[in-house]
Amino acid sequence: MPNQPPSPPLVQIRDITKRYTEAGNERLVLDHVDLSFYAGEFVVLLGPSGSGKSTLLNLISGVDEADSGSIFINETEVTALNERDRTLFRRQSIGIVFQSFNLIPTLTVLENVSLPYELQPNTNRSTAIQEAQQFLARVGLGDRGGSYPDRLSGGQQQRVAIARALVHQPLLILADEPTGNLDHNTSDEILNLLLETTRAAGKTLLMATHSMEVIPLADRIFRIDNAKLIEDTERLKQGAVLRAEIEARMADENRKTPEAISPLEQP
Amino acid sequence: MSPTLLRLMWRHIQRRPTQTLLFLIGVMIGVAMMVSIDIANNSARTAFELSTESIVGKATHEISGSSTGFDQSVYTQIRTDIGWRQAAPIVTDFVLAEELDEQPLRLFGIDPFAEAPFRNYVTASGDIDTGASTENADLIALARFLVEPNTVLMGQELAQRYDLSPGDTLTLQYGDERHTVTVIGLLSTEDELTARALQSLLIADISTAQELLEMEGSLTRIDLILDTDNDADRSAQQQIEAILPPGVTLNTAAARRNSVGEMTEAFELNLTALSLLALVVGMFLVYNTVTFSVVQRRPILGIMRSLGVTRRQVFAMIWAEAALLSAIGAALGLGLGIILARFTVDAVTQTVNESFFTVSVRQISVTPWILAKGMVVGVGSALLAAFLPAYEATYTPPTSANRRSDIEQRMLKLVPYVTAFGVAAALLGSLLLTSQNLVINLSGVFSVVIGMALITILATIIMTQIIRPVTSRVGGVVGRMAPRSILRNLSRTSIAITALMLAVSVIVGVTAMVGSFRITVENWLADTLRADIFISQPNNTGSLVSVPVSPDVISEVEAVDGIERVTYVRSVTVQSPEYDQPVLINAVMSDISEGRRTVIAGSDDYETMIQRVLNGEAVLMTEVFANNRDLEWEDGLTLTLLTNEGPRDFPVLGVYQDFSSTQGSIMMGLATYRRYWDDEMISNLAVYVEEGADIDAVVAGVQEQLVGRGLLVRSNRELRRSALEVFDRTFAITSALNLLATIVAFIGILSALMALQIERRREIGVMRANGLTRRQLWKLTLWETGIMGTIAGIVAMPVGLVLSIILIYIINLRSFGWSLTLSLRVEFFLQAFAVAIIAALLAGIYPAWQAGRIQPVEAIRAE
Repeated sequence: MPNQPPSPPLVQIRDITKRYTEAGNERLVLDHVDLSFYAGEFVVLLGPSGSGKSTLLNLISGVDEADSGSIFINETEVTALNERDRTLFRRQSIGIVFQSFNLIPTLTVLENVSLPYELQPNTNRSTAIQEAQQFLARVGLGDRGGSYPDRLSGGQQQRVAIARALVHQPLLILADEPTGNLDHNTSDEILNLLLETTRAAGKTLLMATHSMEVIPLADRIFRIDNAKLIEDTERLKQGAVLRAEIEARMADENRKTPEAISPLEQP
Repeated sequence: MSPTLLRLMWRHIQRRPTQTLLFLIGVMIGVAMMVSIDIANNSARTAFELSTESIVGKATHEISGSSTGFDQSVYTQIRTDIGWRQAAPIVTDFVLAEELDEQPLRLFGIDPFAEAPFRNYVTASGDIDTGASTENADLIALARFLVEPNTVLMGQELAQRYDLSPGDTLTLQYGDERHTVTVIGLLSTEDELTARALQSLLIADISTAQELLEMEGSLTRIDLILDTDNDADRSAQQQIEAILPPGVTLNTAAARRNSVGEMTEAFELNLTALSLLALVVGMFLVYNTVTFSVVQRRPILGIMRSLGVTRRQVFAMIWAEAALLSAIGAALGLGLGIILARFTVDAVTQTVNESFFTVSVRQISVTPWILAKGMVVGVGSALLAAFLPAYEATYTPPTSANRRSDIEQRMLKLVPYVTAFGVAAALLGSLLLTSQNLVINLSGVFSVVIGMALITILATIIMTQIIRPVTSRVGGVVGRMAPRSILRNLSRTSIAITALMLAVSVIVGVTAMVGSFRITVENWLADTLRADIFISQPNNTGSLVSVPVSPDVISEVEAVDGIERVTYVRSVTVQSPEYDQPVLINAVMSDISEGRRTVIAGSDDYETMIQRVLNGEAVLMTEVFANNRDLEWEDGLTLTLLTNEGPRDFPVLGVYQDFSSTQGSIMMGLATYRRYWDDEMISNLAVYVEEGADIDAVVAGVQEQLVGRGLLVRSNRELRRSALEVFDRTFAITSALNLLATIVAFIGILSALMALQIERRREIGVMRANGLTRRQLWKLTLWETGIMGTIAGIVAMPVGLVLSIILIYIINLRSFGWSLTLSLRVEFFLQAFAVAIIAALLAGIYPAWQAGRIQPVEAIRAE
């Protein structure tokens, strides 16, 4: 975990407001939200369903447009781009992991992973395949490249999605409830994998979740409450304590057994 | 496009064979219909050109008179007095050859010595097979051809087909006479065009032709080669013109070709419009399948968008897919079109022969241009049809969420604009209908129809609201849900309803038009055909109208028991200096309608006018004649005709309704005709039977009396029936059109429902999970389709009515010059309404069955 965040921030969200109109009624989802975080950070966005977490992620990825305010990613003002440029920006700089995996059923696992790489300008296919193969191996599915997604379990599909989100070396990974569709054990496995791979690649991860298990691992925690974004330092502190405890116990366990045990597998 | 996107496209095609097939069928049907009608038109035209143009050969000008010909001394004068050698005399008409299945063949009488500059059938480059092995066989054959009467030459291919060889005889029928001729040689040529022309040609020496065609001392025309840029030639032309007797004119060869082209122009244009309709139908199928495939793929498209695939790339992918499939479909359509053409050629040829002129189509004529046009129009229209769904695909939000409500919101916002556009299109169309140009009129019809189609969306919203209370009361919970579901899914349902509405309105419009036409013709036949028995040449239609009946027949018929009186008509074409096309005269001895014809315009009542026509030198013209030549009747109108005494003005007393000729005709007193044209032959006889006599017995008596003359003797009833048979045959293609429209409507509803079902999979699963039984689900789907069918059926009634009014009062009038009386019958509407409901209900069965198979568990898990 980096002690001193580099400056300037990778993502700067300034005074973002977003409303939805449904059946003639206006609903305020994000109310003058500000948020900045730095390259390499793991930022967690907490909040119950419908609180606006996904909306914020959609605004950052440029999938949706804010009513007012601005978003800068690596000094590019995403909110000032037109739809096409936002798409091109997303293609190059952002990797997304969805709750429902969203793999393309008509492409093989390997083709799914290589797709974002191939979409980059001036890439050749064999390099894309090589890269995809490497990432698949990194998520433990090096031997399943030729399968179609519907042949894989939920956990395996999410591993493929993680490989796909990372393959083109994006600046920022957005994960929207990545474990929401998985059972408890698989969830832990996937969270670890996501964290390890993003950390190993030095990438920034913004994860929207209502799962509390990620708290000890987060660098910063935010919460959306009544359309307002609040930095949850209290929970961060609790997380730090918990993490210290876990690390101590891990060190202790490590002395007993040589195998590494995931911090999340601890009680 | 990246290879992965291409692969994605290809996988989708592979995984959805039924959809791919539907797409291919859509393009294929459209292209095939267009190509086959194009080929049929082109084949008939080419056949006609071959039979005239290749016979015209290198002639630049021709001298011609009335259909009875002109004195052959004109030719002698041109060759000897003026000394113009580039002239060839021709005597020609159609004859029927018994040994060749009684098909019409052109008997072409030539002077072999004058032919060389014009045609090469009988000269150096054409080979003559005489069946003999002598070295000079060609020359010997030529000598026999000149010297021996009743000898003919024919094309080798034609002879082979009927297993004929030199020395065999043919029985030729012309008028009521039969003649035996000997084939003395077979012509073969390397030139393909000439070879094809030879397939419907018999060549005879001019004197043989004169004898066979009862034209002793006369010529049909004289071909000339004149270079009008050259002074000597121009002076020769003036000299020739100066010696031409009255009623005989010198024209360019091109002028005649053009006048023939004009005759069938409207007919061909209407066929082309019909083929374009088939194309629109094909486009609709393409639109449906592409929409369906976009709907199916929306989740994938959403993922792709979130991975950074741009809108343009999504569009390109869907469009490339449409381009690939439409190219395959169009190629298949070309093949199918060529196969279909063999049938359409027959239909078109029959109509052309019955209505315009004689062609004998031996070969379908496929040009690269027709194929290229079919390909380009096929792919182009498929791409056009795929445009909207491809565009819709680009608006797939880049997440997995299938935001159906977004599309519906957008649709609802569009309704006022679409409706306004529809009203504007309908108004523009109405404006275009006021033009005198048929192409603009037909565009007007399309515009009106499209306009009304666009208004249907608003009509759907309004009518669903009206229907809702009724269905709620009758159908309970399901009856309440069905109209709501139609409104909630307006983007899909309105298109299906519109398609069905269009199809049904076409059925209403066309049925009402054909029905009104038939009723008008039936009434006209009843009014016009008052005699009991009619006698004519068997093929007395089209250009064969000039084949005469000997006047001897009159006294023979009068001798039969039970006959009160006989009246007769001479039908003949003559030239008019005012028009390119020849004028058909019906010279009548008395009024066969007995005063019942309908007068469109005129100086007096019909009785008075017909008396003046029979007694004096005035004429009446048919409505078609006037309309085809843009004549507005007014007092003092005259028509100039080239008589044997020179041009003469005939006062036109009025215009009457007549459906016997597509070119229109002039009614003249027989005495007047004979005075000016010196022609004693007759064409048709009308016989009145004594009161109380048994008509069938008298018909049998007349047949017995005329046996061996080859004339057709028909009772009034038979003639009317055969006239209506011709009518029905001409409009047979419209039943095919109605069927096509119904199929399209069915597929339209089916694919719209299938698309909806994919989108509502979860909704249906949740409803099932909440206790909606399979039976209720069936009911719901059938209620939905039933309501859709009802709305389409109701809206189609006024639209169909408008369409039939346009077809009757504008298109028919402008195309063929016939004014019809709109006769509406309740069954036209009931039948079409039934088609709407039944097509909609049938289309609902498969989706209802599919919906029943959705497992609530799966649908909810996906949620």
